[in-house]
Amino acid sequence: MRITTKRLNNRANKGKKGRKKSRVLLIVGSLITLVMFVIGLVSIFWIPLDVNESDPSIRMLPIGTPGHLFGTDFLGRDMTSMLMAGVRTSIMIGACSTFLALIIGTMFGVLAASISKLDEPIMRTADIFMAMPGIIFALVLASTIGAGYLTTILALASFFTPAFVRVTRASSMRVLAEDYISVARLYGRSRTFITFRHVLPNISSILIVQFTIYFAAGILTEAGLSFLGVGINRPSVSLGMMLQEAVEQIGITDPLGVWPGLGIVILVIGLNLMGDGLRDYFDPRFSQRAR
Amino acid sequence: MDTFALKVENLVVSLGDLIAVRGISFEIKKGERWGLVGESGAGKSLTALAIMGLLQDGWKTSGSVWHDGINILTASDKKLSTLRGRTMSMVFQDPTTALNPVAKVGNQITWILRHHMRLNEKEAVEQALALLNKMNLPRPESIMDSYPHQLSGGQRQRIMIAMGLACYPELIIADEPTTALDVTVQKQVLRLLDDAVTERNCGLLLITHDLPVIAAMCENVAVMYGGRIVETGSISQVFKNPRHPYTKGLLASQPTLDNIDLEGGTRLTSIRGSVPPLYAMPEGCAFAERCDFATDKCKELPELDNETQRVACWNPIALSQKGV
Amino acid sequence: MTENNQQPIFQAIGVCQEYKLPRTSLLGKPPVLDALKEVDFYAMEGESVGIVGESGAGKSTLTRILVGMEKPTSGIFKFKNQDVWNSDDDFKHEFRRSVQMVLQNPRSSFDPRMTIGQSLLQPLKGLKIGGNHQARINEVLSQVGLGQDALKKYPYEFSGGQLQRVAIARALIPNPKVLIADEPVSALDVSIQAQVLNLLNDLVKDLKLTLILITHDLSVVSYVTSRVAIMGHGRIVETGTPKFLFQNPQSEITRSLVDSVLTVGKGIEGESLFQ
Repeated sequence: MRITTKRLNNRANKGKKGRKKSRVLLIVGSLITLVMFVIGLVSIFWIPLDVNESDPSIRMLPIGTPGHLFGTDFLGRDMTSMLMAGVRTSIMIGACSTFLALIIGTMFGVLAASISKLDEPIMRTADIFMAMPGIIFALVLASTIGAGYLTTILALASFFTPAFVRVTRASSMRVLAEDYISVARLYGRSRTFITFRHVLPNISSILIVQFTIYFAAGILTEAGLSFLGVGINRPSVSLGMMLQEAVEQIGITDPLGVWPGLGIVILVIGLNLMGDGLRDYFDPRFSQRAR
Repeated sequence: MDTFALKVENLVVSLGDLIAVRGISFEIKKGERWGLVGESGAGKSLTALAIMGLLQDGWKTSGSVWHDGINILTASDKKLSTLRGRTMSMVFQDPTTALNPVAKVGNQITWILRHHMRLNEKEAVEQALALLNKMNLPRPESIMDSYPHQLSGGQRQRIMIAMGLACYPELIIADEPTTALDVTVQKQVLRLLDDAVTERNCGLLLITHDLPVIAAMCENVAVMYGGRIVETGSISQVFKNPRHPYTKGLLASQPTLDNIDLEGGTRLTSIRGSVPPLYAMPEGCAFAERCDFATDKCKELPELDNETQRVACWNPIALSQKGV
Repeated sequence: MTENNQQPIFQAIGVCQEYKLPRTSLLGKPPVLDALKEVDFYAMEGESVGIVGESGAGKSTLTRILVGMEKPTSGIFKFKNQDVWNSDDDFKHEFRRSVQMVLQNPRSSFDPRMTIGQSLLQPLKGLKIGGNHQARINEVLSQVGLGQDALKKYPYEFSGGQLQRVAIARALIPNPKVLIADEPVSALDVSIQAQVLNLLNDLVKDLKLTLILITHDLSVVSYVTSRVAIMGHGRIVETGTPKFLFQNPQSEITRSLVDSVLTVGKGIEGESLFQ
């Protein structure tokens, strides 16, 4: 876009400090997220001990105990292993559900923007999904097909899809209003071509940012669902599930919820910071510096 | 301090390494009308924002902008808010975004009157109606009651002008006031602005790239290029006998009705090349690379000379008439 | 309208265009906007014709019909004396190749994520034009005065004027007979406007193009075209040479358009500024 004075002025709003700040956020956020991802990745291949093996003789060991870095819980299960597995689960579920929502949401959003007859039906359906109380939906799903990985992923995907539909529709409409789309049509380009070669690349940066934001939301929501018992259950381990077990032990044993809670917080902060940083990075106000 | 409505001294506006306005100075005496002409990238809009104190936080300024005894560049926001709209007001280019879309037009006008002139509600409404009448807006009562989106671009711009004039300012700054309007509306709006400015004897700073508009409205003109003023003088001096090659090129590339040919296809004189971007401003005279008269000396930055028609050029065009 | 044996290359007869507006009430028919009312327009081969009018006059709608983007609600639109909308696919294809457009905003005319080279390939691929693509691209670039180094660059690396030249180059790729320019210089700086207008003039002469220039600016049109149609309220209210229209405007609309033209030599009441 032309470097008009208005654009320059808006860019100046954040000033040099602002741009630096968003760079820092991006790097810090990405690092945190990366660390957590590595932990999760590692846990696929190696966990110190079995997460479900309970040994009452070593219950409630404090942190720093040799062999049990984060101690053990009230049943003698190794906290370190559970935390690692928990992080893995949270990331997996967050990723799968957000990815699913992204694919479905983008598809419907682009359809709604391109084909006017489909616009109303798609948006009203999205509204219906948004109006559904999430927890109830999760409960219903859990009672029908049983709680677990799949249920949680499906439940989360259905919460987030409408948001992706909206965002994709709005940004697609903006792109479709541009002259180069009319030009492409005049050149006889098919709708498919225009969608995949013109629309999608131009909305990709918005989608990436949305993805990271909902990823974080997914982790948080999964924790909530598992906490309520409609998400992940044993033998799988999730951070939210660990919180639920900790709650039952309040007043009886030392706070077991601290570490899983902290794990959730760190993951979410990391992803949010990365999302904010990415959003600012892609913000056209800043893109002028690319020269 | 009392003879002028605005005095700009060596204004520099920069954003980090980017120096957008490179030291401009001019003075607008009370009641004088100045045009600031330049194409995009010349720095004129930033100059306008700097003068109004509307630059965002990241911009750095140096030099001074004197108005009503205050240096705008160093004044506090509080002080500035007492000046803006009262002694100095601005008419923006896009009437759509300049008016508050969720407030009725009447409220927007009366707010200014109540805030700056301390009128009560009744007096403010009366004044507002009178202003709208002056703007040749039919049925002012219903306009007062409307929201901006219910009105046309021309009407909105007239309301902007009304708001700008409401408090009898010493200076009105109009930044591309008619660029977004239809051609037929443009003339009406300009006429209105012209009458209003004459009637109230305010100073006018008209900023635009449209030379005929400046010719129609102003007495004096400053031509900006690459963040500096390259020529300044009265309209009859500068537009009739331009001294700076850029001014000459600019005037020559305007289609003038006096030269209409039967078949069309007449060649317009254009200036070769294009405006250098702000981040790649050449050393010395910014226009040299496009100038037919450029010499080695132009690698040095020329300053405005001290004639009555001032030009910043090492090889200015000789005046054809004696002592203009 | 026609001269000797020549048929106009472009002809719109009795064209009307209606747009349905969103409903304001549940019953009855939805309101309709008459964007074009009984418009007759023609252009001879090699002619430069202007269409002038203010916003809302119907210029954009007429442009969209002339370029084949929209089908008129009623009336006939002919290209090379054949009804465009009632023809076979081959003719439609020929039409698409022969009629090209340059739009007002060069920034919006290009996909910001494609290089100029990629954008210039689009007409070749979309319209299925054979031959050496690279050679053709280089050829049109030099016709508009740009070098091959432009190919790897992205739109943001160009100024408005340069990008508009690229837009013109792109329009030339299919070797069109008709070039429709919709406000081609309105978004450009004054000194660049002249460059682009001169370029259009040169191309029209060298390539024997038919140029249809749509604008709200009477002065611009008088430099480039030999005949102008003035539009207002969805109709063509007057046609004539620029000189005639300026000196003897017949219609009210033309008169007000002529009146609103400001020139450097005259003040706001038309008084002469210089002695």
